[in-house]
Amino acid sequence: MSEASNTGSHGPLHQFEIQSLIDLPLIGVNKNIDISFTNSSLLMVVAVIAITVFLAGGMRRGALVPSRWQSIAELSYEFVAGTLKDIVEASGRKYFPFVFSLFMFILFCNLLGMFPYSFTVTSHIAVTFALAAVIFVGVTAIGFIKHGFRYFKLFLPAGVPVLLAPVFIPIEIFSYFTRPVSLSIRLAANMMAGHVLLKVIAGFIVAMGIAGVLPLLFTVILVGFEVFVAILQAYIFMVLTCVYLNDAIHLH
Amino acid sequence: MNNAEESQLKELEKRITKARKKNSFKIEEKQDLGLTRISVELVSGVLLGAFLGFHIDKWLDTSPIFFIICFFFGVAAGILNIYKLASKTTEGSSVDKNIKEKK
Repeated sequence: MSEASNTGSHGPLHQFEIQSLIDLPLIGVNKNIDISFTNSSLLMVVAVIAITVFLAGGMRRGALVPSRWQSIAELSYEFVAGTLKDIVEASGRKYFPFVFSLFMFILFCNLLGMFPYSFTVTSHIAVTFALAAVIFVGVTAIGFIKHGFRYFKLFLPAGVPVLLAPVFIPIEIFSYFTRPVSLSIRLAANMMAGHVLLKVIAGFIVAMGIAGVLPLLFTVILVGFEVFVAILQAYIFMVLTCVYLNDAIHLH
Repeated sequence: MNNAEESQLKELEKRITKARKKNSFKIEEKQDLGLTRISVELVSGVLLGAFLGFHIDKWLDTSPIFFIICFFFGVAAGILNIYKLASKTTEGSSVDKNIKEKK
């Protein structure tokens, strides 16, 4: 911790620093892969434990008339199930476990990042891109398994003249490959921008003395807004996953 | 007695469907919060094109041919994505409706 204070621990970007908590030996062929247990890993583990406690604890009784806790757990289930049903319809039901765990993981990572002194896992492109890449590869595999080579029709929309096809197909392929990129950048950029803004505004409170009441008020509003963004971004990530799934299942 | 119960049940059913409609409407409204999505879409297209082109060039030692080609395809893909997004949100006002129309 003393090491951190030497390098400006109050900077707005300090909160995104990866710190190794348990050092583990490097692995890999060239001994260049660091698998140390970091604060990022810790928060992910906390998120998974929190989700398990939240859902298992809520459904422990399984009462017909739910308690408050149980009804929140049921609400989250029904919310995801409803969204999936709206977008992918009945054929999307078997992907529900994946979509649900994805939504809950991102939601809890986003919300846990709102605690002071914690760490926002989803503000790192490495994490969000890994999630997006899993979705991208999975959706592409589902598309090819369901439709075989007809899946390539996705790259040539109906009604395009044959002359334009050599231009259109690369653009469509690029557009297809931007999916994981935009998916991961959207989540990471939103989380990072919010937290940096929060820290910068909070920095003004002490610096402005008595007038610091104004940035303090603004920070209070921003915290509320950040919680909203955390939920909204998890929701958007899930919705886009559903839309991509729908594209792969219902080829048009 | 029985009749009264039935009418009560019907009343409840009406209220449930009403509440469900309200809920789904809320979800659709939120989806149209697309301003940040458009900017991200454009940026990611350009980034992907530049990244791919740069690495193909590095691999084949053909700098800067593929960088330029992929860059422009990336920009075009970004604009195409925005076009798709925009036509989706203005035409049907909800993803749900749009999907049903396409089928």
